[in-house]
Amino acid sequence: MSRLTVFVVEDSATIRQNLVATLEEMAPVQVVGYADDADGAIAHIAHDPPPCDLVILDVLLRRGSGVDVLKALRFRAHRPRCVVLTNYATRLIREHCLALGADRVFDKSAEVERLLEYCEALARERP
Amino acid sequence: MMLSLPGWRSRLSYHLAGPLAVLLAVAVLAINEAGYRADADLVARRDAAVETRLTVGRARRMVLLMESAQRGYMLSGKADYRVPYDEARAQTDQVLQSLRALAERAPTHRQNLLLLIDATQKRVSELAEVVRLFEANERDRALALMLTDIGREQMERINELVEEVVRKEEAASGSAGRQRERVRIWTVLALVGLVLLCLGAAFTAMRLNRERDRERAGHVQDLQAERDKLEHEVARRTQDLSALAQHLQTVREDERRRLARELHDELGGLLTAAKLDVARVRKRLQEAGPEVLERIRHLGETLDAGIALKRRIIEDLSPSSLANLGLQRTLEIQCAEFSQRAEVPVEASIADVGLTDERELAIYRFVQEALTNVAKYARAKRVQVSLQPDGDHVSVQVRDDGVGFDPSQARNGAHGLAGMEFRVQSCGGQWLVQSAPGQGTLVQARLPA
Repeated sequence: MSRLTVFVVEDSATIRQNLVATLEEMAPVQVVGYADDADGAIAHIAHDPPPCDLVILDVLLRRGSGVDVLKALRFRAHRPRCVVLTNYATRLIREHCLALGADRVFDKSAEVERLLEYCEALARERP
Repeated sequence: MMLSLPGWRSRLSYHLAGPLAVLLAVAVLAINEAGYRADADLVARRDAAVETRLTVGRARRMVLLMESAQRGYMLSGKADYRVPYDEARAQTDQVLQSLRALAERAPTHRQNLLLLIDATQKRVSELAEVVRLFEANERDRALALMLTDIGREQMERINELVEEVVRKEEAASGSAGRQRERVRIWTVLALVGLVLLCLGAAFTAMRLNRERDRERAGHVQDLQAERDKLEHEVARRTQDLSALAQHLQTVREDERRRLARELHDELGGLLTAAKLDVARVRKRLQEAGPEVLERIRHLGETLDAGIALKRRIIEDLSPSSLANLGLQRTLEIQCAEFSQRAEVPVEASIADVGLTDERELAIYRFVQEALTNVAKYARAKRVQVSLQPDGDHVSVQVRDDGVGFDPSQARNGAHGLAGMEFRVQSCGGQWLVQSAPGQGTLVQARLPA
């Protein structure tokens, strides 16, 4: 099983470092890059072919929002999977993000394990 | 051209003007009266003079008539010529009587008149004597008597006396006339003086009045200027206070945002990292005892509680979803969460209107405050929240069917109403509250879009 390539969009360095470490330790994940604002993320990701399998998006970023990234990637022909990992995972935010093309929405504090499971499942799907 | 009278002089002239005018009027009246009297006097004088002249003239004429009649009689010897003589002579007593009366009346002429009487009597008796002698056929003696100078002297005397009286009389008349003239001149002068004084007084009064009016206008202007200054001051102060309140509000919002940000960035980061650590540790500690796992689980729960608390605080301080999801979604979330917490159905009818950040925050806070009030006081069974466009404004309403209150009773400080009102008004909006005890409550804000 090859590792899942993941791009992290998160503006808090503390969380990002911790998240990257956790992901790489507890799931077959390789973090290939990160950005801390929406424009930076879009610049990295919006390529053909996309540079990663999965994008993990925080909603609240230093500039812009994870939602902007979702919108930017929504109608691209080759787009990576996008999941939202956020502290504000209310029902309506979930609905909103899912409507914009996110595959999943995970609560940053309560659903990290679900994220890990998801990454594992995704990695298993890969050839 | 200012008539400026220094204080004491103007006061003096003000006070003297009246009495002076009265005094001068009385003087003019007195002079006028004197003139009138002098006139009457003059007329009387003139009458007396005429009478004097007539009287003495009559005396002289009588004597002359007698004389010429006597001469004629003596020349002709005819009885016809005696008639005029007799007629003239018949008047003697009357004439003498009138002379005596005149002498009594006119003391100035008394002496002359007495002499005249005497002379006239003598002349008359002399003439009579000649006639008697003539008629007694003593012509020679008659002629001799006639040719003496006595008669002529007497006649001259009479003439002289009469002339004297007449001359004196005319002199007196003349002097009375001159005196009358003097009095008239004085009268005219006094009248002119009075007129000038009146004109002067009127002039001065006009000037004083104008000055007083000017002073009054000046006072009014001063008062108005003072009032304008005060109004201006009040307006300025009000503006200052308004600006200060606005500033404080902004500062508070900024601070809240900052706190939220810090909580989210720093604290949030720490808590999340801790949770991630817990996840990792838990994986590793699968083989450890149940106690350890229990500790880890409890640690996880504690962190969850901390995170939940932090989230609540942040949301309260600065609604994140406003920036991320927009006002419509945020209000919908707000209504939903309130409905869940307060266990009251909320009908939300939120239109998607585009507003500035400040206005969106104002509306968010408005609804937040209104819903807080509903939760605290209303005991409502149904709540309606709506945000709709309204021409070039937007209208946000929160209506409940709870116990209501009396807006005129509640002081504005209560129920956060003052804060709501100020926030709405500082965005240039209108704020409305309608409520009555037992009839629910409606709060509404109408902001420019």
